[in-house]
Amino acid sequence: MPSNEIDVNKLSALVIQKRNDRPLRVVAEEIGTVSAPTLSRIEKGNLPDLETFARICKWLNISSDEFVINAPEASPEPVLEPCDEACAALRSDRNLPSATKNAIIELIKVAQRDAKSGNFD
Amino acid sequence: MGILTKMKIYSPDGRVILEYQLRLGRGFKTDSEELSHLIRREFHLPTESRVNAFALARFLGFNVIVPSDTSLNREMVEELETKSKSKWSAAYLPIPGPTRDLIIHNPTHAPVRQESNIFHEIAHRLCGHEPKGIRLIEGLPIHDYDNTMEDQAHFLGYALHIPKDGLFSAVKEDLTNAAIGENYKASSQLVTQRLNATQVRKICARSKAKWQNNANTNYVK
Repeated sequence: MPSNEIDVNKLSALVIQKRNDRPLRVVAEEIGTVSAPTLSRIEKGNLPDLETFARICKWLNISSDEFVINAPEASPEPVLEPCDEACAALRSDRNLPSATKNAIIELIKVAQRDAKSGNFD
Repeated sequence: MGILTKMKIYSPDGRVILEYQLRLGRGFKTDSEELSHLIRREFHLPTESRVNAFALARFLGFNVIVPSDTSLNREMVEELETKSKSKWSAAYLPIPGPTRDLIIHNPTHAPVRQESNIFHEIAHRLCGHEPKGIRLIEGLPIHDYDNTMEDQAHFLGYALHIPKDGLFSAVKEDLTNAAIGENYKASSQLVTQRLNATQVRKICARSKAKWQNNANTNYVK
């Protein structure tokens, strides 16, 4: 079965179009339980959480199915579980190109190794 | 009323370096403003002062670095600082043991945005945000904060960047948004958001009108 992704670019474009230069705060209130900063992040291509996504689809009057794209068969995404160990927190775009992903992964691994060696003290 | 949480920040060697109260529900914004002032008092500064984000991060037990500070190969450093520079802002790396945690930030961003990025990561720490779930990037677990946490860090980060007392002083001195931004090394967007969130201009205008009204009334008498 093909795995599915959400077309965040389409979502972002439709939100921007419907917002139509009105203040973020006003539109966020219109959508309900969505803050202006969250709305701004969605417009920049960040994927919202499930509840926010549902609310936006309702506001756009578009079925959530419209944003699902069938990706080529890939290894299944592991089930997300609470993080038991300390792991990195990253602020980035959700959809990262391969080159960016690779560089960030390597950066995190190298930085943690360097820190444990006392390179930054 | 939100749950009143007494928070402590510890140095890598286990000393308490900051104690404060922070409600994570109702009352969060009020406590955030007070925390911003408290931190300035800890630095023996007036509460309207600018605080350097990098200095504050260091005080709170972080090392703040950029990719080229690590032993990452040149090719990947270049990737992060050129083609991928718009794709990421910062990463927080907890380091086990008595070693400072890391904030790695994007040095290609404008200085005002770099300050903002660092304050945001500091705010997550001050809020005591714990990982709620992870996503995987090519098998490496990356912690994602949920929207509530992001909104909290957003507000507190901005409050740390431009304290409310600073806004009152600036408005009373009739400074423009651009001048306020220059004082605090902040973008005009951030200044506008802070002024809107705190309603400082409205409060000062109301206060001035009330004072003038009282003055006129006394004069008539």
